[in-house]
Amino acid sequence: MPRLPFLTLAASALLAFAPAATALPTNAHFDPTKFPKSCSPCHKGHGAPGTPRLTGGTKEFCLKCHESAAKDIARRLELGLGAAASPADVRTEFLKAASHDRASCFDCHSAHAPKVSSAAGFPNASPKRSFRYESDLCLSCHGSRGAQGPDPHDLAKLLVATNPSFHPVVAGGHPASVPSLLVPYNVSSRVNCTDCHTNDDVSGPRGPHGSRVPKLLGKGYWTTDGQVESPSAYALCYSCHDRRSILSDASFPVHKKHVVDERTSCATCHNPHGATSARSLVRFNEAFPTTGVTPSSSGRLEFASSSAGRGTCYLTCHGKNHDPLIYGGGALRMERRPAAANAPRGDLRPAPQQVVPAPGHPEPRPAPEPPKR
Amino acid sequence: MIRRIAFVAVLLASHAALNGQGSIATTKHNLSVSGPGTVRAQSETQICIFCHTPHNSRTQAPLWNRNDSGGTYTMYWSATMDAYASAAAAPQPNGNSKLCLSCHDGTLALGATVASGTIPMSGGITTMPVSGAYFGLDLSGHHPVSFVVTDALVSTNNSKGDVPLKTLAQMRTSTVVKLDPSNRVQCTSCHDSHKNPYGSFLRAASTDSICLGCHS
Repeated sequence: MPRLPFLTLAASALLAFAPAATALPTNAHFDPTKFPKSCSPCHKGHGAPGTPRLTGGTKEFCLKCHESAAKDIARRLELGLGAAASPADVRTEFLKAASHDRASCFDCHSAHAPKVSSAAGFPNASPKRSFRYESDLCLSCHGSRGAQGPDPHDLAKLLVATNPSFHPVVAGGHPASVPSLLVPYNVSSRVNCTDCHTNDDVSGPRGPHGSRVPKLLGKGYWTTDGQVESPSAYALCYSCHDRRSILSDASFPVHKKHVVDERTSCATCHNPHGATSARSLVRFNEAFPTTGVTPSSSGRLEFASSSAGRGTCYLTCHGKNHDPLIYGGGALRMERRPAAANAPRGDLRPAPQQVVPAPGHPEPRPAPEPPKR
Repeated sequence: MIRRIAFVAVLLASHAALNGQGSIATTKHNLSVSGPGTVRAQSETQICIFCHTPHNSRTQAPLWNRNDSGGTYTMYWSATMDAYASAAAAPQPNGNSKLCLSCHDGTLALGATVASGTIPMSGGITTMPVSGAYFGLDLSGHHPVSFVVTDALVSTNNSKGDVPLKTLAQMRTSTVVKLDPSNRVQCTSCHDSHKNPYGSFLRAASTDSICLGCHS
């Protein structure tokens, strides 16, 4: 009668030729240097009701090991952890302001599944069996689940490739011009949900467990207006989109005016997931509200764009009525609706802001200032 | 010298047997008045009578002396379970497991026998007190029992990249675990109700080695 599970494990390895016997998945939970006791640290014959015979029935069960206290030697013995075991401290992540602490570990993880590749970039396998890609897993909660209603959390509707613009998570390669992309990214690149939504502590466990940044983001991203622009204020965006390019107005001619001078958040104009009827991830046409932006004096809250670098905004923001504002092709002008022959154009220079615009200003407007880094 | 060592070994082994480690007499399953546990009869001295009778027995097990529980159980299921499609589709306990549950589900009196009526227990105890071995009718957190292991089941499980199962032949020839004659997992696959050398009536000192009798 084998006294040690190792012996049995070794024996089963020798019997690998036997039909239908396959190797254990590569997974820290099966590493005998980390889990010398095989099954019993987690399972028992008669376990908590409704669990796969676990010694506990809630998330606390996983956090018994996945916390900083599991570094203590006596505690490790009690838990049955081997010398090489270094369980990620997930408990600390769940204590952060933005976290998935209301989810069950098993919503996203299969304790027996093969370890997911740590390689960055698409594709990223799902950490849970029954989902092929990570995004399939995320969208199983954050997608519409089939409904096509105005669900603000329906990220699937925003990410689909039929939209005029979307971040390339579930699909890639839309032919938009994105001048700000940093090497090695290009318009064919793909990203994963966890490239943005992940723990903010780079030394902590990977994945969207918890972050001090709202929306469970891995880097800084202010979503409210009034913040001073800096490399850290929008560090998340700037990790793919060159800050110099954005602030030199290479794509949108008044990026710097809005982000630096008016202290407008990227999120005020853009929904990073996608836009169902607008280019450039602009969110004004979506059914759900955005902070700090209200309809124009004619009651419209819209963005229209026929091509890269050109567009028309109907909205009121930072005290300015855009009804509409038209940009692109060298033009940048405010118009009243219905368009008046001598409509005053909006002042788009930095503060002072309450300057009465001079009628009939000649066009095109001078190029914006180069960025200051 | 070798002879002396052998003698000592035999002595130790016989001591273990007398000590009841290999006998039901000193386990909690001795429900007679001589039993070591808190659950025992007021005056009944026969040990075996609680489960077996030489005459007028039932056929579920050799000389079986208990009635079956009429309970309907909530059975175990998980997403990685291939033997049946849902908890509702699970087979209800059968075979030896049904025998164990005639005490451990807490619905029948411990002293209720077929051939000798109901034997009074001490301390006012009738059914199994709520303890670690009391299961009730909710078996959803318990290892599944009473399903049939087949080669096809093993193949299906092992094609999914989860923890592999050993082959049916390996399970059947295991020196630790016991499938029943119909290749079903039962309580008796892991437990031996008649002796308790390792605690919890388990068939091996290491619970892991029991798991690894069927799982790789």
